[in-house]
Amino acid sequence: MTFQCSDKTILDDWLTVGPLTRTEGKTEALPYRTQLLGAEVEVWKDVGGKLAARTGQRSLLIQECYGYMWICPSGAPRKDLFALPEYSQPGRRIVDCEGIGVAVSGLRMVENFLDMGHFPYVHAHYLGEVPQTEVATYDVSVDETADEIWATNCRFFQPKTSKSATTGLDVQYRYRVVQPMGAVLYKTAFPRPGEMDAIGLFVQPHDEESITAYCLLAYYDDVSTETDLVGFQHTIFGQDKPILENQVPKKMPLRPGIEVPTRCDAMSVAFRRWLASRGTTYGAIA
Amino acid sequence: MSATRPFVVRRKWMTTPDVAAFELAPADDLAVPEIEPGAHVEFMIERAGQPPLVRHYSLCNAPGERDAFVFGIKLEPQSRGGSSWIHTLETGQTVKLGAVRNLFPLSQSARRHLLLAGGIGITPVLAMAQALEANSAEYQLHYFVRGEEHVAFRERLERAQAQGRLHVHTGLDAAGVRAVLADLLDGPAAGEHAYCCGPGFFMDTVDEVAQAKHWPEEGLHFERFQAAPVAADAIDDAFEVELSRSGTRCRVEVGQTIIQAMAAAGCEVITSCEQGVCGTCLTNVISGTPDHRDAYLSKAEREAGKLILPCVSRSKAPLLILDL
Repeated sequence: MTFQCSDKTILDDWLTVGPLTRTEGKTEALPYRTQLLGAEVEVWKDVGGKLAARTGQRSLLIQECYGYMWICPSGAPRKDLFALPEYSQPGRRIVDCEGIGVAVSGLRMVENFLDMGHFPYVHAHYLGEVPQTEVATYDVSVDETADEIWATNCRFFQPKTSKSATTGLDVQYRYRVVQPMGAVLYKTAFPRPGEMDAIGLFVQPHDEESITAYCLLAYYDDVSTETDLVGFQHTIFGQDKPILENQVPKKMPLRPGIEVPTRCDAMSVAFRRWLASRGTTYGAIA
Repeated sequence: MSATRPFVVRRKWMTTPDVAAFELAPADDLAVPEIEPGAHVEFMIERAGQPPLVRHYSLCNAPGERDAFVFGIKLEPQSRGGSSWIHTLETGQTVKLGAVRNLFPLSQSARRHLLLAGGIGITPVLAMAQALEANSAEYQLHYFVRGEEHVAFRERLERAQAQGRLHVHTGLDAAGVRAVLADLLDGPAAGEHAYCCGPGFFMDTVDEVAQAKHWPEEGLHFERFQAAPVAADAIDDAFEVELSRSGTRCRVEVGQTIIQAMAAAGCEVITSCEQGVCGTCLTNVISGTPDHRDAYLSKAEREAGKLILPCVSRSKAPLLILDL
C-alpha cells in the first residue's frame, strides 16, 4: 500500500492519525487501523511501549506528542512538529475532544476554522449573533522563521463563547496556521479574561476529499465537566460539518478569482497564497 | 531578525516608581560588545501562544562597562506587550537579545553637547552623559521629569551633578517645558549639537522650538522609537497614473481610487472585491512608489514595490506608471 499523494509539502509534514488512546490494547498482530493519504496505516505499541506504524510492509516514522500520534509519510520530515507550549503550561486543563469525520478537503476544514465571518450564521447563539455580524479589521502576518501564519488583533462579540460562559463577551482571538493540515486558535478565557485558551485543530486527511478533524483544548477552566467541554466543541463542529460537506468543489481552489473573498477573509487569502507559494496541492485545485 | 544571544537577568530593581532597571549578563560569561553611547539593543519577546515581538531598548552603559547590559524600562499602561512582559522578568531568568545598533550617535565634530531628556528618554542620554564625562567633554544635561521621585539612575548621575552639569526640571506643564527649551535652544554656540529623547510631544516641542530658533538641522539629533503619527487629513494626496501600454494618463483625486479614475478615463480593469483582498486587479508597477492599502500582498511584495492592488492602494509619489 502506498500513499496516494505526490505533494512533497504534505508527505514531509507530520500528519496526525488520531489520539494516542486509540492504540490502547493494540498489538502488532491486532493493530489500530486507519487511512492516511489514501493508504491503510497500522499503528500499535511494541512490547517496550514504543509506537510503531506501517503501511503494507513499509515501516513509518511515527512520534507521540500532545497526546496525539504523528506520522511523517515520507520519513524525511521538513521540520520538527509545530510547537504547542500551552500543552504543558501549568494551570491549563488539557481535554481531548477526539475527532469528527468530514467529507471535505483538509484545507477547507482548516480555512473554515480560521473564519470569523460565519460565526453569527452557522454558530448562532454560540459564537455570534445576528445582527452583530461585522468582522473588525485584523492583522495577518507570515512568521517566516517558523513557516506559520498568524492572524492577530481579531475580536468578535460572542453570546456564549464556551461551556463556562454565562454572559456575552467581546472575545479576543488569535489564529495560527501551523501546517496545511493544522491550526491553533487562541481566545479569551472566559473565567480568566487576561489569559487565552488554546484550541488545536489537527486534520487527518484520509484522502483528498475526506478527513477526520480532531480537536484538543488547553483551557483555563476549573468549572466545566469534561463532558460539557467536549460536548460544546462537538456542537460547534457538528454545525460546521454539513456546511463544509456542501461546499463545491470539495477541494479548495488556490487561484484568485474562483472564490471571491472580502476584507474579513484576509486570513483565508493569506492561507491560500501561502499554500500556493509553497506548492501545496493535496486537497487543492492549484 | 538577527542572530540572538541568551542573557540572564543579574539584577532588577525599581529605579523610579514605574521604571524597572535591569542588568543583563551574557549567559556565556563573555563580555558584551563595546557599546557606543546612544545605542539600543533588540529584545526578543517570546510569549506562549503569541507571535514573537521585537522591541528596541536603549542601553545606559558607561564606557568600559562590558560585563552586562544596563537598561531602564518604563511600564507603559498602553503597552502592546513589550514593557509589561519585561516587567515580569525576575532575577535569574533568561532572555534573548539580538543586534546592538546605534541610530543616535554623538557627533564626532561637536565641541559642545546639549543633552535633553524627557522621562524615560534618559536611557540613551545617560549613556551619552557618562561617555562625555569620561572624555572630559563640554556638555550639559537637562532632564525633564514629573517629580523628583521620577529621576531614574540617580547613582549614575552623581558625577554630572557634582560637576554642575545636571539640571533636573520637575513638574513643568507644556508651557513651562517650552519656556525652558526656548531659553536653552536660544542660538546655538559654535560647534554645539543638541540630542533629544523622550515622549513624542516632548520631542515635537524640542523640534518646534529649535526650528523657531534657527537651530541648524545637522546639529539636532532625535531618538524616536515610534513612528510619528500621521495626521488624518494628511494621509491622501491626489496623484497621476499613467498606463504604459496605452499611454493614457489620469488624475486620481482624494477620495477616488485608481480603478475609478481609470474607468472615468475609459479604461476598465477587472475587479472583484474592491477591498484590496481578492487579488483580481493585481497589477505590475513600472515606475513610482505604491502606497499599499491592501490586505493581499506579502511583506516582501509590499517592500519590493513592484505590484499594486489599484482598487484600494495609492501612490506615494506624484506619478505612478502601471503595466496596463
